[in-house]
Amino acid sequence: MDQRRLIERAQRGDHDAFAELVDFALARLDRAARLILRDPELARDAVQEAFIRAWRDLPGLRDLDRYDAWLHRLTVNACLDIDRKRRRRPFEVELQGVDPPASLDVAGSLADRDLLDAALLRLDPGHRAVVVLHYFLGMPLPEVAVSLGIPHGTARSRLHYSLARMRAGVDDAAPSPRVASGGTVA
Amino acid sequence: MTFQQNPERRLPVLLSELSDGPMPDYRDDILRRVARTRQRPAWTFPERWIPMTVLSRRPAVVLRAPWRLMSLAALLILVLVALAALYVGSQRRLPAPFGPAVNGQLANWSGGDILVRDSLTGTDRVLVGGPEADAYPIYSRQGDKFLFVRNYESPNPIIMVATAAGEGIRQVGGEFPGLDTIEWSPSGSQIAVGWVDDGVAVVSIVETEGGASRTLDPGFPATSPFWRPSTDQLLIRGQAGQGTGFYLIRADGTGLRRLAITSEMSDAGQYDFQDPAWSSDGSALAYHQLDPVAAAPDGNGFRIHVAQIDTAGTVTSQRALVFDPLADDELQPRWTPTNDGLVFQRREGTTDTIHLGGLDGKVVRTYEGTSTAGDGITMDVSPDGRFVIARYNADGSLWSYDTSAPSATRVATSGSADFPNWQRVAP
Repeated sequence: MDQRRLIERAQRGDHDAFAELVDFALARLDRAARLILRDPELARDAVQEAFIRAWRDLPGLRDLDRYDAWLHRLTVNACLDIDRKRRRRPFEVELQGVDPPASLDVAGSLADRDLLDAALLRLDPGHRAVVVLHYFLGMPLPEVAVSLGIPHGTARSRLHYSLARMRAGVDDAAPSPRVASGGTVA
Repeated sequence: MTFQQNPERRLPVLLSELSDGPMPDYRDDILRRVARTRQRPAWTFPERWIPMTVLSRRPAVVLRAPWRLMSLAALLILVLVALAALYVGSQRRLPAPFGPAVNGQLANWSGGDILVRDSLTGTDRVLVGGPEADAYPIYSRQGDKFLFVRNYESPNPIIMVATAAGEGIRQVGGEFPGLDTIEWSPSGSQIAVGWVDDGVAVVSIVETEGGASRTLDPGFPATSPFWRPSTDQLLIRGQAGQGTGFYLIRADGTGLRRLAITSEMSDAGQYDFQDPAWSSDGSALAYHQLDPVAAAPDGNGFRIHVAQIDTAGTVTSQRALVFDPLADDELQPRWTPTNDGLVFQRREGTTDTIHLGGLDGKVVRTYEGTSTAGDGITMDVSPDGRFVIARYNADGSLWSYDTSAPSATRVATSGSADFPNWQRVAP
């Protein structure tokens, strides 16, 4: 069944239809939330909260074609809300479950991921959200702006700032070529 | 090619790898929570549309009797006064739209019916029943009529108006998808409605007689209309130029002006300019926004601000009211009847409490009771200013506080009744 029909049924209170919508999006949103929050437990809370809000407010969604962007927005907002609540908690917990990638340059890729990991930590969650929506979920920048409820120019400047800051982080972390595990020069 | 050489091109792959992990195992937890959650449109958060302006002292009116009037003129005045007194005596007295008033009935809703009770300790009775799904009653500022939302669970709700006695129920305006805010005009002849028209947030003005409506065109998406006391201006919240801001606009769509209120956060976006509340004379606007907070580990928190605004819309002063510099958040300001203080909510982690603070930034009273579930508190001040009513959103419990004492009294409600709206009555 196509997503539009499922949304229409869920808007009328059909739990089975909503369960299918959850199945479609759960893994994607969980990964996005983990990237934004850098904490799998908090990401789990954020995604749960996003789906609860989606169910509760789904009857108010008029443009069904915007469902995905709306769901992304709910997830990002839930992430940002949770991030604000955790301010008194120690910062950062490692991501879990990083499987070896299907890449020939395994060591180089691992080193890159380490660099990316460190670079992402230099960003606040609001900026990480722009990076994740654009580069991970593949949303065009205007759609990122709509999803986050910010002007297009702000989304563009946030992305520009994020990339600049990440580059600076990479430079700080890797001033010279280094030997990664396995002996490959990264 | 490495990440250092070209981060943009490597990012999609690296982000995908970095986020890779086992399939989430909490699908069933979500569906269990969904099964316990009732669907409702986004606009049904009461704090988003319940009128936020509270009451203050009515300005004194001084009549100066001229000494040198001729006796004939004096006689004429006496006759006119007598006629006016006769006319007023024959009419039901109404309170001023702003300023203190006597506490009237409380309207609420439950199960699609509109309920009323005579006082906090009274018993609910059905005012508008029947098969229709009705919700969210709001009295006009003079208390002589009320509106409510019909088909509140539908994507296309409508607005109904009736007399305070529940008579003459009629629809005003059309359907309002994405209903966000409903606000009576001071005279009760118009209603400002924030809703979503084809994906764009707009504000419409609906005539209560005849039901005609027109949508304001400020040139950007706008939400949360609030009538400014003693003027024909509306405060709206919009996004234009560099971001979210407050604007003034007349009800006829002219006179758009951005309030020159600044934010210390360069990119606070959605967290700025929240929960506006006019003082009853319309000279001051209280609201909360995200500010830098040195004591907070992430460096920011909600703080209450007060801006003085002249009749032309010029911000003559603005300042933050920081009652506790170490607090996580201080938000949701409500003016006291005398405009010399604010009732507000403080949040530490997920724990919410209610406080009364002075305009000098000092807490006058902390009210008993906390909500610890992180779902917040909805609150308002009674028309006479003697009570604060608060709903702990986590469990739906309703509490009243005598503003002069810290203790709380649980208010009995019918079933799943929501946050009540208090009718203003003439002294």
